[in-house]
Amino acid sequence: MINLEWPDKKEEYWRSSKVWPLLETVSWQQPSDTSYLSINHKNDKLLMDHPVSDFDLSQCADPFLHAIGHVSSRQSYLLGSGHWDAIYSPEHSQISWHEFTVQSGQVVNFSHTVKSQSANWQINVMVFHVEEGASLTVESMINSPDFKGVNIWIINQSKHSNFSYHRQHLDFTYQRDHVWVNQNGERANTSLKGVYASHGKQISEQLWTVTHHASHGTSSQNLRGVLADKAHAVAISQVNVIPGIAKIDSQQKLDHILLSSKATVHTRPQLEILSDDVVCQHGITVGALDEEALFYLQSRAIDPGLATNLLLKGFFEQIWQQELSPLLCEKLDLVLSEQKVEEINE
Amino acid sequence: MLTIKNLHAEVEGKKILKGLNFSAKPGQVHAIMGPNGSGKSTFATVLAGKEDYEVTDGSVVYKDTNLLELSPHERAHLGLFLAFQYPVAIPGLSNINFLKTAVNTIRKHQGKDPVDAYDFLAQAKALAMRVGLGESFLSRGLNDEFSGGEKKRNEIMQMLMLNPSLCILDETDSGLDIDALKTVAAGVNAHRSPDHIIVVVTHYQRLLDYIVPDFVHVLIDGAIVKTGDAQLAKELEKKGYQWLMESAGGGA
Ligand SMILES: Nc1ncnc2c1ncn2[C@@H]1O[C@H](COP(=O)(O)OP(=O)(O)OP(=O)(O)O)[C@@H](O)[C@H]1O
Ligand SMILES: [Mg+2]
Repeated sequence: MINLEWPDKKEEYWRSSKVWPLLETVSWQQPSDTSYLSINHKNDKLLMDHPVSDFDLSQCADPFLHAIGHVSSRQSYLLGSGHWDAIYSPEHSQISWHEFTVQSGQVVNFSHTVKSQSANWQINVMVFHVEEGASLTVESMINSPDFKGVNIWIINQSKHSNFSYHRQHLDFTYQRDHVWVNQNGERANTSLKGVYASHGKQISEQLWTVTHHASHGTSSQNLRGVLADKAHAVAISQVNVIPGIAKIDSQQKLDHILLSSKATVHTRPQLEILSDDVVCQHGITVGALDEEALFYLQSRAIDPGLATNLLLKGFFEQIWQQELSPLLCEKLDLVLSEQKVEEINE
Repeated sequence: MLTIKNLHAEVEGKKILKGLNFSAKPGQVHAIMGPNGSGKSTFATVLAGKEDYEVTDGSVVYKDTNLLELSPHERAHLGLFLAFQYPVAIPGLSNINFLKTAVNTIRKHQGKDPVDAYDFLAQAKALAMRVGLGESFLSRGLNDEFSGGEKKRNEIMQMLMLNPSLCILDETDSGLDIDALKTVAAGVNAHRSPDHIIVVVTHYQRLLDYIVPDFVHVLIDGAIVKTGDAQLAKELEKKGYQWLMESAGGGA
């Protein structure tokens, strides 16, 4: 069962969005082959699974889901334990849809990188069924300067399953990242994390939703972004708990640092809690770099550029809890060096 | 040699330092005492170079250099170190990574190679032990969830690591238990040398039993109104500041 509710009233923002009228001019294709997505595993082959039921999203208020419309030609695979590398490099304006099943007890690490030379609009839907006791980690990265498009992740978790999502967007023109997680079985755990630095006129939209359909679940959503120049971001995190579900522990935290007065972010947590026995923590912050912290580092002989760099890396590392990728560090360096040029020119 | 003449400074339009004179020679330990709000931290912060503290008059010369023209990190390169009254916490930046960056920045400035990672870690562990912080503090975020006393110990550890020639310790003794006070004082005494100037800002004569100062100054309403030796601190302990405030007020 796939549940894609995104109530109309919350779509006001999108109706006024500059992006969605553009979409109406796009002629979407459903790709006839799958060469735009290469999936590799050291010693395993992807097994084609049986086809799954069709979808009609043409009634959805969300312009992107609406654009997907009726989907019939989909690819469906079984994933065995281990590390999978997926490179997504489409050419046409296409809507692609893939479904994966992580079988009971398997531990899968799925790394997905968007590397596209194309400036055409893309919609890429990835559906994962995480069966009982299985663990799935998705490492998702966009590193294509011309990329304009949407990645939609739909995760259906069975009982005792774990899902972790690690998101980094590095280079793109416009990127929207929808994550829908459905905890359909009891005692499922979900952790969504994202870090990014954007600059120029990059637009980044992060829309994450975790719906608890079963009791004793935990979920956390942590997103941190640094915006320079005229970059714009949207960060909305939603938690739904359906009636009659108990013992849910959820946490949402969205933090942004704006390095320029022209950078903007639209961010909020949303909760639809239709049950009592639930612990939900949420917080958002949007601010400038901490001047006191900057002064402290400078007083220890660290120059302002390096101090800023350390503070921002620390800002990311605090939620990322592992070493930041060299690509992300490079992106941060680039954003900061350009920011400095902007300051001098002002 | 540090020479401060007629220093005037304000924060957000409020005049706080009003003609402060102070000088110190290498090898000396100075204590600055004074009532709450008299401008002690402002004085320390102005020396360290915080941007929003505006110097409106006067001069600060250290090692023949006009300190007021330098940015905070340049002052640190010249040997200045401020142990903050309220050290900030930077959760995502590990203490050890921070320390190493600071040490290597200073070494680079002195034309030296970066420290050997292994030696550095060993040295950091030894210093952490010396100031009474366990090794686990090195991998934690900088001052992140440290207790008040642990933050103060960490400031002293940084001082010993960076080996500055002009140290200003702003109430490093406040909030310390008696053992911590002895540890901190031992750290400061170890740093005493013919090349170093140490300025301790404190409210308590008790600290001065452990760190015996060459001079004691009283700062009231943005200026130093009295200077004496260690005996002056004992007198202040007995008499408070009122008698000095009256004469300061009378002189103004
Ligand atoms: N950023 C600021 N904005 C406005 N006023 C300030 C600011 N910083 C300090 N002050 C004021 O300046 C005066 C001196 O403050 P300062 O912190 O230097 O005092 P102090 O002598 O260190 O006091 P204490 O013994 O309590 O630490 C106080 O009246 C304080 O309220
Ligand atoms: Mg003070």
